[in-house]
Amino acid sequence: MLRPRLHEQLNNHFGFSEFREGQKEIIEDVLQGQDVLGILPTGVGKSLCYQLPSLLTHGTTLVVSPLISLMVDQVKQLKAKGYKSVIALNSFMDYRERTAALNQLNNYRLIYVSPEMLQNPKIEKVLHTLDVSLFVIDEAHCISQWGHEFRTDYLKMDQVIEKVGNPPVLALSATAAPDVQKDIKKQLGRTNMIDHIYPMDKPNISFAVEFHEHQDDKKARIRHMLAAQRLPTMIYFSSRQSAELVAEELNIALDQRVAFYHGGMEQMDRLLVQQQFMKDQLDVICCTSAFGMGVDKPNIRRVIHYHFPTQVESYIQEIGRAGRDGKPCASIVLYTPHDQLLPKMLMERELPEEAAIERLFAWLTNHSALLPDEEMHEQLQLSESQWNFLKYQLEETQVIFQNTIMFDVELWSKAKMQIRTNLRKRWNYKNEKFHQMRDWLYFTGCRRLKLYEPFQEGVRDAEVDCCDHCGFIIDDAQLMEEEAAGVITHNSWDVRLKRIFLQESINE
Amino acid sequence: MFAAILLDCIQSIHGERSISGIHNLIQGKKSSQTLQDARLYKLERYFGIYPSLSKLNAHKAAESLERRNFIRFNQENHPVLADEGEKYLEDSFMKDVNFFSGMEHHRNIILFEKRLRLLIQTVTHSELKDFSFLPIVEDPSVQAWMKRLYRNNVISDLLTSLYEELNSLLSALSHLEAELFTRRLTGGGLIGETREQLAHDYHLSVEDVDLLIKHALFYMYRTTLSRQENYPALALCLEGMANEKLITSSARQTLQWLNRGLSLEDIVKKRRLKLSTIQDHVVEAALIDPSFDIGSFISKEGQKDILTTLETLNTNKLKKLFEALDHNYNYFEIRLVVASSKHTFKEDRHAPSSTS
Ligand SMILES: Nc1ncnc2c1ncn2[C@@H]1O[C@H](COP(=O)(O)OP(=O)(O)OP(=O)(O)O)[C@@H](O)[C@H]1O
Ligand SMILES: [Mg+2]
Ligand SMILES: [Zn+2]
Repeated sequence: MLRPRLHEQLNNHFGFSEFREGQKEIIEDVLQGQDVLGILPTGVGKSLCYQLPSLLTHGTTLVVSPLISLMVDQVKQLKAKGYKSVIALNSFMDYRERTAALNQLNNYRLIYVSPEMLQNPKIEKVLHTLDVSLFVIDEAHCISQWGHEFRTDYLKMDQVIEKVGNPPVLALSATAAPDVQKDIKKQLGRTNMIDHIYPMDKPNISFAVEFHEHQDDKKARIRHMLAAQRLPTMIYFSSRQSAELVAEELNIALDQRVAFYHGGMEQMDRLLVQQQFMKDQLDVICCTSAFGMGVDKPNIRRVIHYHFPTQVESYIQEIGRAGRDGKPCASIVLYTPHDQLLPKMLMERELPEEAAIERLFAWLTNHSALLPDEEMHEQLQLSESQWNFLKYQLEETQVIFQNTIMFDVELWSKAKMQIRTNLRKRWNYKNEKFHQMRDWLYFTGCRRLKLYEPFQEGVRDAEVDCCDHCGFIIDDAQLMEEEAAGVITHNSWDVRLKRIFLQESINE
Repeated sequence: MFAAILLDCIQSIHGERSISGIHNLIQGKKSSQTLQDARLYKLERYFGIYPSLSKLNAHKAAESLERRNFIRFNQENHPVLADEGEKYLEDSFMKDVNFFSGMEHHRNIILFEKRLRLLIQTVTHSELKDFSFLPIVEDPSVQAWMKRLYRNNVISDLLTSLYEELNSLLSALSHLEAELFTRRLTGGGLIGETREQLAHDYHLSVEDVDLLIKHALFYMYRTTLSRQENYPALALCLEGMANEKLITSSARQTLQWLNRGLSLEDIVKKRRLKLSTIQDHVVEAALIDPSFDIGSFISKEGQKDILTTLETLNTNKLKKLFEALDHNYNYFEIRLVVASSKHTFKEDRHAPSSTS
């Protein structure tokens, strides 16, 4: 009896006539109270796998999401569609807003929250009182990808699940290799989750990697590609400055609308750029990884990487923005030998070096309790994420307990060894990931096969030219010309004002 | 416009404050020192008009002024207006048309802007029967205001009124300001543009874009405020705005203790603050409140002495005054007299001219 009713609900609440691959299976199990690990490709509709159940269960659905912007976006979109009882708890809320939200939290069916927020004592207290009927971890690969370093609160999720009364757990991701899948289950304390794992390759995307000598060559190449075909395009950078710089250069060189997007922008400008892009009033967006996860524009035709990311998982996430309408699209990575240094630098900023362990214990010997995080960064010369890693290790090895330093010679020497081992493991892991990414860039066989190899067996047939090895030539690609509908011509202010206020017909 | 504002400040301050001091003023730092500077140098109008201005950008702008020979730096590394700069300032339209009134309105303007943007988006999208747009203003209190307004909507044809009012106000502004203002608006299915995009298209700095739009907003706000019956739609955005006097809450507390008869030393103990901080509060009060009596802090003769020196030297520099007075009075006493002397001059803010 479940099936016809589910379809009806899908239609009633979301206006979709059919489930997409995997959705119904996951939702049915979730509604039966099972713990589920769902791996579906980017853009298929993982959100629906908890949004629909949240409407059909008696209690609250709690969704843990890694990025504030992602949460806020999802909430806005749901609200715009008429789903009112949804909220995102985030650190940007001021005291008053947060208190107001917390006081009436049980009025919401769907609550988005960051892993860090879950550790906030005030929020924790309120969550206890909720009747949680489903606990969701969206982008669950973050547990493995980030949890072990700077977002160690991801590793405390099992405790949170217990505290809210052991509801069924749903973990979702588009990029989780078998070892990551195992890690997710382990960290959540749910080793018996039911797998719903679907092939995550994108049959509508073509791959190409181009090798260049200099940064300038990459820029010239981008200018050439953009000028040849005007298409909704994203260009990824690993630094804010280069995103801004190239956006400006392209703006000058081309007769197209180009803008940059990164985490350091003013809030309204960020919104404007995002919406311009959504509404096709922008052709090209030069961005950092701050733009991406969750961005759901149907007709992005090209994703260009000016810098390549530190791991294959991030890369798959980022190209997952392209071709969400199912039509042909392409990924182009531009590479110069020099680019290898950037990811290395990023990694070094994230993980501490071994010498930091000695420094740390020397410091601990002279103190009785930890200082506030900012002061610890200062005193030990560590970045935020480096310190997070070490702090979590100290907690795990019981060298500190509730910020107090527990002195015990034997315990300490064991702890030091343990931390050193863990740190080495993490470095190895990160280096492996990095090499996996770089190896893919240098790979001379079929890129599609190679890219998804760590995740699944084989790939589906490509619906487009597969990759540069299999004969794909980006300059010949037929990526469909977009209609110039969204392009705005600039009239003087009085004409624009009339357009905004829909006064054209009246006054002409 | 940024250049003209900086030059205007530099001219009034004649070498007595650093670029940081000017930055604090424009940025609206709510410290006693900055509030006092704004009053002393008659720069209230620029106080807090650009809250997001970074120190770095203020310094960069100053460097560029120096390169253009508009200003130079004196021995203390304070900026001083050069002839070129004076000429530029005289020619800039800021000298004739200046609607900034930061000290009085900067906080209300921020709220006014948010409400206006959301109102325009909401009204035009309702007309399109599009109720699923993403609000351009995220501030929950402004969204709540919008909902309330819509529920008991009083104006019959809000869309047309709003259009006509904006059209008339924008016509009174410079072409550039009107362009920037409308291009930044979101509504009727069009998404507004970012500051960077506008800066690029009009060959301006981002700071100029921000300030030109801000100036337009000051004009709209003040015109609406003074003639609400002519601008009923825009006047909706003024709802419940207080006309607050600017004084830090810490200073207000000190004043309350003073009024209950405590001495400065008592207050120092009570509030566990430094004496200099408490003195700052007193000076702040003297600046803002014309009825504040400084008699209990300095004798009548002392006041006269300091005032005379102040007039002869014609400077607000405390050190010079201190020395000219042969160290007979301490800095606190001098600052108090300087502060209260400002009330003997007439305030010189001009109201918006009625050109619309
Ligand atoms: N059954 C369906 N029929 C049609 N459209 C759907 C269906 N389910 C979801 N969608 C739409 O698909 C789009 C992508 O959904 P969603 O953002 O949840 O993808 P995702 O799997 O979470 O992707 P990502 O991995 O990039 O986060 C949304 O616009 C959503 O409305
Ligand atoms: Mg998603
Ligand atoms: Zn291939």
